[in-house]
Parts: sequence; C-alpha cells; structure tokens
Amino acid sequence: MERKNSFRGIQGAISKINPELLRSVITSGTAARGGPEARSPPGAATAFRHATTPLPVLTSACRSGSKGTAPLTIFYNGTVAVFDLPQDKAESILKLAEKGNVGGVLEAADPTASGHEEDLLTKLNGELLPIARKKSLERFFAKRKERWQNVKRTWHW
Amino acid sequence: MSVERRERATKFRADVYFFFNYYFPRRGPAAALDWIQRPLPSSEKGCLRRLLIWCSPLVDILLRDLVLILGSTAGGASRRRLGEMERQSLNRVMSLGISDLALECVMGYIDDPRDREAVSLVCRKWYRIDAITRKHITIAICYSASPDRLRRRFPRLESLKLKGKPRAAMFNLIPEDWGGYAGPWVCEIADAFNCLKAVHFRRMIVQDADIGVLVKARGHMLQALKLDKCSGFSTDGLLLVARSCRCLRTLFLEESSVTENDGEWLHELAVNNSVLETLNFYMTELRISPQELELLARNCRSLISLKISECDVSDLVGFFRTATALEEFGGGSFNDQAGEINRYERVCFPPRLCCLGLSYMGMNEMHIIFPFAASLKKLDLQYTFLSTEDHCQLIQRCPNLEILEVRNVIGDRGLEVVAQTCKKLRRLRIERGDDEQGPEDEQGRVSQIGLSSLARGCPELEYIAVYVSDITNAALESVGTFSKNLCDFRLVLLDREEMITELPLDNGVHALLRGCTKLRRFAFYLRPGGLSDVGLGYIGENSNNIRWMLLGNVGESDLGLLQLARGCPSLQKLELRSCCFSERALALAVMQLPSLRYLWVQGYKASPTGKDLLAMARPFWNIEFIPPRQDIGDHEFEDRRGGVESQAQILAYYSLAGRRTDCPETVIPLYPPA
Repeated sequence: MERKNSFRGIQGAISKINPELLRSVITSGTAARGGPEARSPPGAATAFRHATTPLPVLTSACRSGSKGTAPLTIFYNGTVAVFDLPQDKAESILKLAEKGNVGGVLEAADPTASGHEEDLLTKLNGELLPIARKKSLERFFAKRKERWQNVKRTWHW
Repeated sequence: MSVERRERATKFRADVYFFFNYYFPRRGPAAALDWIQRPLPSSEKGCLRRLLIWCSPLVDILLRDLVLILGSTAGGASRRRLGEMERQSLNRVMSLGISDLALECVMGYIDDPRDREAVSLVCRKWYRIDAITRKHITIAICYSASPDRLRRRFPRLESLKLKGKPRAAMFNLIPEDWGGYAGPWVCEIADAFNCLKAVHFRRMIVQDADIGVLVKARGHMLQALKLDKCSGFSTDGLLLVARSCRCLRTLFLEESSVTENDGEWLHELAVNNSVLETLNFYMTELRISPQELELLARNCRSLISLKISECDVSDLVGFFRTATALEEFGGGSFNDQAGEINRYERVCFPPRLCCLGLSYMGMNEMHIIFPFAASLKKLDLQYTFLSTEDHCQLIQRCPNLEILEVRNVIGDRGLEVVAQTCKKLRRLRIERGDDEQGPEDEQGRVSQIGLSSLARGCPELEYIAVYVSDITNAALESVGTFSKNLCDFRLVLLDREEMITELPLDNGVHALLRGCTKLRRFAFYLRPGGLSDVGLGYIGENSNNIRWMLLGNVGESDLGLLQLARGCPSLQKLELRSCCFSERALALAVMQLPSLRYLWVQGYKASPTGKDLLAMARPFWNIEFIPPRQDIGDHEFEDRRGGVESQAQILAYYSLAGRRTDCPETVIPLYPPA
C-alpha cells in the first residue's frame, strides 16, 4: 500500500513535468552533442539520434536528491517518469532495460524494493486507457448535474 | 490493382460495349458527339459517364487500353510512373482528337471523387479538364496540401471542405492549440477562388479576422458557410457574416466555441437575409432572444431547418407559429418550474416538422410530441431526461422514424420497441450514458439482446453506432446476417461490467464483416481479451471496402496487427487506441497497408529509443508525436475528472505540403536523422 502511494506520488511528478522542460532537457542533449539546431524541431531529432544509448536516460540537472540519491528521468512507452534513486537501483533499472528481461532482473534485485520496481514497470508497460468521453455529452452531463443540485436546493426550502 | 478497381474497370468496359452495341450501332463518332452534347436524360447518364466520349472505330483497342490505364492507377501506384506498355496505350488514346469542349461536357457528369481520380490520371489533357471542371473538394487533413497547391490545381472550385484537428479532438484528446488554422486557406480563397460558393471548416481554428477576409472577398457569392466544431472566433465574426452575406442559404456553427460579445448578429442576419434555409448553432453557448428568431422566421420564408442553443421552448411559441415551412428543429430547453403546470401546452409545432431534438425534455413534457410523432423521420433524444420506459412510450408512436439518436438509457427494452416499430430505420446512434447515474438511468444498459432484436427488426439499417455493456458473438452474427445495407458499424464495449458473456469476439466479427459487404466505416473498441490475433486477421481479410477503422484494445501481440495489415486493401484512415502493438509493428503495418494515408495512435509499446517508429519514414509522410500531458479538456469539468493525464499520441499522414511550420509546443514533428 505504501509503495503504491509512493508510486502515485511519482505519477504526480510525471504529470507536473511540462512539455517545455521536456523540450529543454532533450535540446540540451542535442547541444551537448553539437547538434545543428537548437530550435524546432528539436525534440524529435534528438530523441532518435541517441542510437548509442539503449535508453534515452537523461539526468535532470535541476533537481537535487537527498541521502545520496540522484534524480533519474526515464522516457518509456510514451510517458515520462522522474525518480529519486540511489545509484545501485538506477543501475539495476538500466541493466534491466538493456537486457529487456523484466522478470529475470527483478528477481535479482533487492527484495524490499522489487515490488516497487515491478509496480513501476507494469504501470509503464501499457496502462489501460479509459474509454474517452465525447465533449458534447460531457457538457450535457455537467448541466444535468447542475440542474439536480438546483432542484435539491429548491426542495430544501 | 485492388479488387475494387478491377471491378470498376470491368464495369466501365461493359458499359461502353453496351453503349456501342445498343445505342449507336455503326453511326460513328460525329453522331455520338452530337448526341453527347445534347442535354441528357438521367437514365443514360450512368452509361455515358463511364464512356467518357471515346467513340471511334478503334473502340476495341481503346477499351483495352483504358482498362489497362485506369486499372494500373490504383492507390499508391498513382505515385509511380507509367510503364512502357502503358505509355504506348496512352499515345493511341490521345491521338483521337476529341474536342476539349466535349470532354468538359461529359466530365461534368462525373461526381464521384474516385472516378474523378481515375479520370485525372489518364493523361495530361484529361488531368487538365478534370482540374477545371471539379466542383467540390474535401481535404481530410488540412496539412496534406497547401492552399497554393489547391488553387493551382482546382482554380474553379465551387465548394471546399477542410478538416483540421484529428477526430480524437471530439473526445478532448487533442490539445486546443494543435493547429488547423483556417487563416492561410482563407487568404488563398480571397485571392484566387472566384467561383467558391460553399465553405466548410471542420475542427479548425478560425479567427474573426479570417472571417473578415472571407466575407469581404466572397460574401456577395457565399451560399453556405459551415464552421463546424471550430474555435477562435466570436459573435463579432458572425456579425460580419450577417451583414455581408446576403445570399447565404446555410449558416452552420454546430458545436463551435464562440466567444459571446453580446452582438446583434442574429438580429442582423434576420434583417439582411431573406433566403436563409438552414441555421444551426446547436451545442453552442450563444445567447439569443426569441424575438430575434421570430423576426428571422418572418423574413426568411424558406427556413426549413433551425437548431439552436438553449432557449426555453415555451418562449418559442411565436417562432413556431411563424416558421410555417420548418421541417427540422433542434435545441431549446425545458425548465420545470414548480407551479407552472401547463407551461408547454401552448407549444404548437409547425405542420411539416419531421426532424426533432429537444434538449432537457423530461417525462412531463414528452407528450407535446405525441400529436405529430407519427410523421417524425428523425429524432434526437441524446440530450433529454427520459427513462427507459419513456423511450418505449415515445418510440412506439414513431413508425416512420429513419434516424434515431439516443443514449444507452434506451436499454434492451427500448431497442425491442424500435425493432418492432421503426421498420424504416436507417441510422441509429446509441451513445454512452454517464457513470453517475441519473434517476432516469436505472435500466440503461444495451446488450447483445437489444442488438440482435435490432438487426432482425430493422433491415434497412445503414449506420449503427452503439455503446454496449455486454456482447456475444451471436449478436454480431445477427448483424452480419440481417443488416445487409450496413455501411457504418461502430461498437464500443463499456468497461463497467467485469464479466462479459462471451469473449473473444473473433467469430462474431468474422461473420459480421462477411455479411455486411457494403461496410465502409468500422469501429471496434473492446477490452483486453476482446479480440485475439486471429480475430484481427479476420478483420484484415474481410474489409475490402472499409476506408476508416478505429480499433481499441484489440489483439494480443504484434502478429495481430501484421495480419490486419496484410488485408484491408481500401483502408485510408486508421485509428488505434490502447493497443499493445510495438512501434516496429506499427511502422511495418503502415508500410504494408496499400491505401493508408492517415494514422492516429494513442497507447502503444514504445521502443527504447523510438527509432523503430522511424522505420515508417518515407517521402511525403509527416509523422507527429504528441507527448503525454496533463489537464486536458475544459476546466469547468475538472471536478469530474480531476486533471487527467493522457498517454502520448502518434499522428502520421501523407502530405504534399512538406513539414508543418506551425506546430505548437505540444506537438513534435519526427524526421529521420539527415
């Protein structure tokens, strides 16, 4: 339960990253490699030029961790995640990605942390999207709710 | 050459033979030409359309050449050059010297865009004549061509339809600033399109300034203006339209976001226009007064369709009395004030009214429709407060219904009534109810029972869209067996029930697609386990005519997608959501589908570096990546969804306009490394 809560917290961190930061982080990667342009389209070109790294893992310089942890930013499956992890955990995740073998590496990892990582990777690996709702109907339902609330208020008199 | 093209070429050939052997035995080219230039009785048009004036002693050879040329220009092949044999045939064809005027005459009868496409690919002369005689163009995604290119090719266009944002925008999945700006198009229209009478922008960003430019240049000729699910303009823009477009017959603003500047646009419209036939500002928040509507009804005697924003129906008594030609009405509202029991009794609808949709109508007001329910052809109950029982009561009085739109509160019981009563039903849409159930929603579930009754009872159905809570293979088989006229089938399996009676739906979808051969649009949105890879293979094999597909939560692995991609010969537009396919499979599928020109994906397995996605990189193919983001949709509804995160999206489409230059922060174009 605790682990789930901390994961929720991380998910919160995920959603707070705005695309601007994303872009600048990606661009700084290009700049470091002497990429031709820093402007659009930066994000695209960069992420895919990293042919040598197994994972586009970029360490964000603007956050500081505590207790010897460093922030680790991972782009995976169309989502972005930032974690404060000790060095060995970070390395185990990297190894995991390189091997592409989720089960094997997890077993080798620290048992107390393994549940957390499993949650993490299961979540990252294709969380089911809720069925999208049509705008027009959403508006109608909101108005309907307003009317009920008005009626309730009327009845209280 | 696709199956469909081959069939058309064969039919073409048969028609020409028929024409020559029965209509013009031995009379020769001059007589035929003379006959073609006379006004044609409509029964002969079909045959002549396909003839395309080639009358000559060399007909036999010509026909073979034409079949070869038309046949070889299928789908993606149009982008390749003609082979040697084909070039020789072309020379023969071109050497006959039929006048351009005659060609223009005949081409005017050809409306179908695919026929036109074939015609334009025969030779340069035919291309030119098609270009100057083409009346209407629909551009499915506005970034696939530049305004300039449109002008150069079709300078005499009379009607233009442009679509901007992806369809997913209707579900709040696309950032508002994604793009689809009408500006550049409006400038080109103002500059160059001197024959343009009808403009339709759908899901685009249109500003008041754009409207200004448009009406200044074309206002005197504009007969139809549709700003359909658009945003970016205000009532000031509408005021400009009202003042400058005196011959406007259609003004359509449905579901657009219009900023209210307390304008007098409706008053101005009523005062300046006397030929308006269709006015639609349904699902907008525009504020109008009943008096303005009454004025409109007085001045525009040809008004046959009016769909409005909210306005109490009891205030429309005067309007309904005046608008005697009205056939369609939508919108309004009902406000159940305690103490005013007979508020809506005085409402008397116009005599010819046959299409109706009344917002917020409840059980107590429903009976005002009863007097003319039997003449209703179209009924929209999506935005009403009716229960399952109410639906039954109302629909059993509507035997002439052709189009019905409801929410799933109609239930299986309501669908049973539809099946028994509405034998002429052609289109049925059953939308999803709210998760927070209203007092009327208690029996609101549609399942295989309702769907089966419907298929059996309504054989004329051409369009079915349904959100089901439960489903079986047998129900889908029923649809395949009985709904032979089906062109558009959309099924979404809701996620509230844990257990579904029968999954996977492989056999059901197989039977459905085998039975419904006319199907052109298909949506199948399930849950994991809903359709196996074999099922996806069935879809691929049996979708010969399907142009658009939306698939959600289907398949088990990449193999499924690849099997799908081996089929679907006509698939032009593919939307995938919440599936488990990898980037590599997506890229392979894109490269394999012969007619694909548009792809939208949300929810997929990304490769670590994303370079697998670039396997689909090719000339003229734009790929856009929309990273995941937070808090999409209207902020007023935040309490309902509380800052939802959404997964990344891929959007890819063919474009002759090159790379987009107006991408916002939220859209990242992808290109292979140089």
